[in-house]
Amino acid sequence: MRSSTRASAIPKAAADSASRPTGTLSLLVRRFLRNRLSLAGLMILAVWIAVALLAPVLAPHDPSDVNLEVRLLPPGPGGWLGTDYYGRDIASRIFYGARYDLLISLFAVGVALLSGAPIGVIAGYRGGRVDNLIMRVIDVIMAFPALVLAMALASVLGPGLEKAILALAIVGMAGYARLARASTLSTREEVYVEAARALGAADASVLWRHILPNIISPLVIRGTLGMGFTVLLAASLSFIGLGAQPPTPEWGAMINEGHNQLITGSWWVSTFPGLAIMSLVLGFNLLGDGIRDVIDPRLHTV
Amino acid sequence: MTRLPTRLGVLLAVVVLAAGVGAVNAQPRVSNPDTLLYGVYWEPVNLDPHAITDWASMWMLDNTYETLVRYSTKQVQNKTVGTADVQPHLAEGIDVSADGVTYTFRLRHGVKFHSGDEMTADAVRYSINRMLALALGPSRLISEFITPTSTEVVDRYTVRVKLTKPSPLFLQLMAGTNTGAIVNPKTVDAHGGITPGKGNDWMSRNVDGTGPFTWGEWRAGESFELVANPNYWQGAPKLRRIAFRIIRDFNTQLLLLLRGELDIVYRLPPEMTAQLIGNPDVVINRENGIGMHQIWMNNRMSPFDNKKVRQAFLYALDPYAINRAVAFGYAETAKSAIPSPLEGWTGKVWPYRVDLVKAKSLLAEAGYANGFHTEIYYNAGNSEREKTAISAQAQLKKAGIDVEIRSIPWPTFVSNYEEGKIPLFVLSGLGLPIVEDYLISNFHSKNHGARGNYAYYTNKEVDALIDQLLTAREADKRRSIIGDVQRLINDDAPSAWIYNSLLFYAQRKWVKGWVLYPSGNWYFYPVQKSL
Amino acid sequence: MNSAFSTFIVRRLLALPVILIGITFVTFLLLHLVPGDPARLILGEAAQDPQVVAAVRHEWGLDRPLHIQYLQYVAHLVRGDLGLSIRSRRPVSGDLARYLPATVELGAVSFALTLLLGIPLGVLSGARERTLTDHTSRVASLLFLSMPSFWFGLILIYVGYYVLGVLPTPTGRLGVMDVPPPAFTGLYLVDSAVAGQWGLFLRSLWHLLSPAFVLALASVGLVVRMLRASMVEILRQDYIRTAQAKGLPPRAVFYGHALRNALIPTVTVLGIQFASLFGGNVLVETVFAWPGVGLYFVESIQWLDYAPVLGATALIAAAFVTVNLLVDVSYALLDPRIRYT
Repeated sequence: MRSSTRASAIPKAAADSASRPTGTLSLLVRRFLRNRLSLAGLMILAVWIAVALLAPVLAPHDPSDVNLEVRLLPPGPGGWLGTDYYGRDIASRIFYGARYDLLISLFAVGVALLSGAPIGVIAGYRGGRVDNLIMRVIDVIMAFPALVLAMALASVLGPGLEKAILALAIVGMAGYARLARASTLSTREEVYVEAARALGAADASVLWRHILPNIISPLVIRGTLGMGFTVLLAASLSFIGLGAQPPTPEWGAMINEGHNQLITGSWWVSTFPGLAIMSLVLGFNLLGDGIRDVIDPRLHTV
Repeated sequence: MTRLPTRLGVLLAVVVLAAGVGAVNAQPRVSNPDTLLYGVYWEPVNLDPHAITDWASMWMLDNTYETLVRYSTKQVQNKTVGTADVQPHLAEGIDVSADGVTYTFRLRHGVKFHSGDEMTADAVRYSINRMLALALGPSRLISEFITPTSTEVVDRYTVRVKLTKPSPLFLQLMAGTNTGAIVNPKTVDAHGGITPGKGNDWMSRNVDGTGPFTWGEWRAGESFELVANPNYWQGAPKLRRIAFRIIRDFNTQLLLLLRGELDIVYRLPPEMTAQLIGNPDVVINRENGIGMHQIWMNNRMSPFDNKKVRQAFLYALDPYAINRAVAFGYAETAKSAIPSPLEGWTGKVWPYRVDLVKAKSLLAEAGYANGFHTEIYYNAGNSEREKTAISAQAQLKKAGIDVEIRSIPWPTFVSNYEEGKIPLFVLSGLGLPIVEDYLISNFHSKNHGARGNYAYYTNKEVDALIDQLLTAREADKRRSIIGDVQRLINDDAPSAWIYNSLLFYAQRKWVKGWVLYPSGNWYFYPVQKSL
Repeated sequence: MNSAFSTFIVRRLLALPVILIGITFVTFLLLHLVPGDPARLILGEAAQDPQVVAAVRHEWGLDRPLHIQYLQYVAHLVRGDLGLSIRSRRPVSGDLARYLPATVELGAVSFALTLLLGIPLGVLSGARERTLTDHTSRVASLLFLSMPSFWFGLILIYVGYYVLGVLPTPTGRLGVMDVPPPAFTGLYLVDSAVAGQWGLFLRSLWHLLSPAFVLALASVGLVVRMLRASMVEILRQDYIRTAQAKGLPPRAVFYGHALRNALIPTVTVLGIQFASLFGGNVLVETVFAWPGVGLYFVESIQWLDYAPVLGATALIAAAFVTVNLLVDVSYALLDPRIRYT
């Protein structure tokens, strides 16, 4: 689903203009704090992180406690978000679920970024055949719709949370590689980088001192937005049964578990986890936008 | 020669959950009275009766092709239900020799294929030999006692079949559409004829049978239909068209049924059926299929290679609770290793009940006093199996058995259980109403793995009893053998049976004449829509 | 048109078949890494007999070494032969010809919705920066982006069809009793219009709207963000101020200068949306019972039906790559500053 965001969260234009941050850290922080929407994003994420950490305290019930006597209770005294098909408390499951959805996005994006970026930098810095080969492979990977590729990879890797994370990471990797390459390319041709190389600086030193600082900000922006997308993709995988395994209270899996009861009127089973996903993804998107607005100077030339 | 008495069959449990009695408010009009709208989530794959291996194709061909014999019906509480007994159909009469080896079929006169050719003895011989020559799925049981020279044309309307050994299965197999369908030799020959071992592309897309319906328009992925054959030998069917709509989402199917836009939906998940109870416009038919919903144990894999562990597993499980959790208690909870509609079934040799103390002591005797860790598998997306796994996990935890749930894609699931690579898995099948067939494929040690004994269960005594049953013809002897087999298997506990496979059909009340058969056949000829 | 540009296009065109072959290779590899045997799957019960399995494997060439199987597939592919489905024995090209129009029609309508909703919202938001309109449309577009589309589809069906009864039945392209128009293009909108069946035209449009809306929402979110950002940037450019200072009417400045230039970077986003909408969306197609390529893919992979999975993937990916190329070309034409590397 939504393969689009993968390819386009940061359009090429933004990558091209990935220039150095134009201010000190404190300036950046002040700019960030001025933006109410980004602050809201930060707040949403902070709340979910707190919920994830405090889940055992907050949750009134064990999230996988099966009790058929209280199955499919509507929101109310039986549980403020109701109970599901097995009589499990939906609120408790959403609280515990925050742990899984946060972990999945964090790890999947982390692995994708840390493996994709070096590949992209090598391609961009070396150029020539290496670049060509790497870029063709990346083109191929990116031509697949994200969910299709994730499904295939999850089928190959087998069931389980760690396998799903790996599948999501592989899907995301190509995008980071392409972005890192584009940023490296544009930085490499800057006068001061060419000068450093002409003066005989070692590749490692050029990469570390000149390239890296310049590619970090687009990668961070993309990574933050990518976390939101990864949550959605992970939920899709779980929705078709290839992601988190029952009785794990992952939110996508919860939508799946409730979707056959939607019609019999038990709307709450699928609705609340969906809202949870939406708020978490919104948090990542707002934060990502905020970071971009702060780092990308084009919008602050006034 | 003795006239064949229709053989003793097994009672089919068809329970009609009566819908609300006497709704007073005005009945809605029957919508589309000459078209039956059937909501399905599957699609037939092949229309060649001698090549099919899936139920969906079989259900279609039940109506386009016919067989020499067919399962009969009977009245139970004013309701017509199918039986496991066969009666003549395209054959007017059948004579069986005293030694049970020679069957003589006297054919009906004037039965025509859709193309207009008459069905004769030649067509019968051609059809049986074609099935043997293709050697695809359907021939596997029948080739044990029929060869290409077994069938002989006596005259235009008489066929004689000489079995290589007597078999109580023969007539039942002739009643199956994929084993007994009579095809038109002229049509097959005009489109490539018979190539041994290979399906026929024309036959897999087209139909020329003698049945009450012909094959209509097929929009892959969307719809397919059966169209009335006005020249059917018993008279044109009451319905003009049976339109199947492929709707993969059960929610949508249920919605459309409630709104009267669909007439029948097949096999709704039980949790949805709950909503239909009490609806005055909808009737729910519940049928016990030939199969068990069960958690298979891999009898070759530790710790399930230990009989005590398997028994402990059955004591720790509460099949009634799983039945309630998964099927809202509508299914018939298991009381034996075989499905209850099968001949010779008995619930009197069932040793298990929920007993955690017993389960723990058995585990301790087996050396697992502290329990153990294992994994249970099912195919992703199957909600019945998923619910079973989740319920079982919660129950087994109490006995110290820690189960991790694994949902995997269908192809991987199949290869894993066939090759005996996974310790526990949830699976339920749908088989023929033939007890020999069920026992051989599920429990005989020669059928380990892909051949049907997915538990890799081995008990030489059971093997010997099943072999005896294959040639046993006296009812008493058969019953005692089948009873002994169940006692032995139940005690060995190669698998954890939960409940008898359940088939749900929900239909509008205006659908009349739909009869369910334990064999799983679908015959639309008597169906009509009226209030 | 300069030579650098032509070289760029030629190079990209040459890379196209290479990428396509790469895609089939990756798909082939992944498919064969999934444990399972299609021969056994289609045989079902009959797979009890090893000889039958062996015969089927032989008939479909599954007993040959993997690299040979792949080379044979490519050899056929090059000649335009996508092979047969092992499950239905139907040619994959014929199947795709049936499923593709459904996806294309859905993609076209959702793309139209994307434009209709996304461009006005984005322009409005950018032109009235930091007003209530701006904040509302920004938050709304972010919400659209943040929803799981399959979930939104389910909720839409539940509320719109079941509770309120205002939306059409989620039965795919038409209602249960509708008879599709005579097949011409396979696009129901076109076919029903050609046949003059206007009632059918409206019903098929009606069925298209919900899934198209669900699909469009995420794209709308992206378009609004992109367009807003470039609007804000451009409205601050010197030439806009110059134009304003020269006394040009605000309308002329807005349409003649600002909008045109702001749309350029949006073309990329739109192009990618276009490509991915046509690639189909597996889950939305499932939720709305839409018989498109995504659904075909899911059903085929259930049975490890190699040829249909390869065919569908190759088709989706080919569409994606081709549209991307077109986007790059049009982008290059629109913005002369782009370097062709």
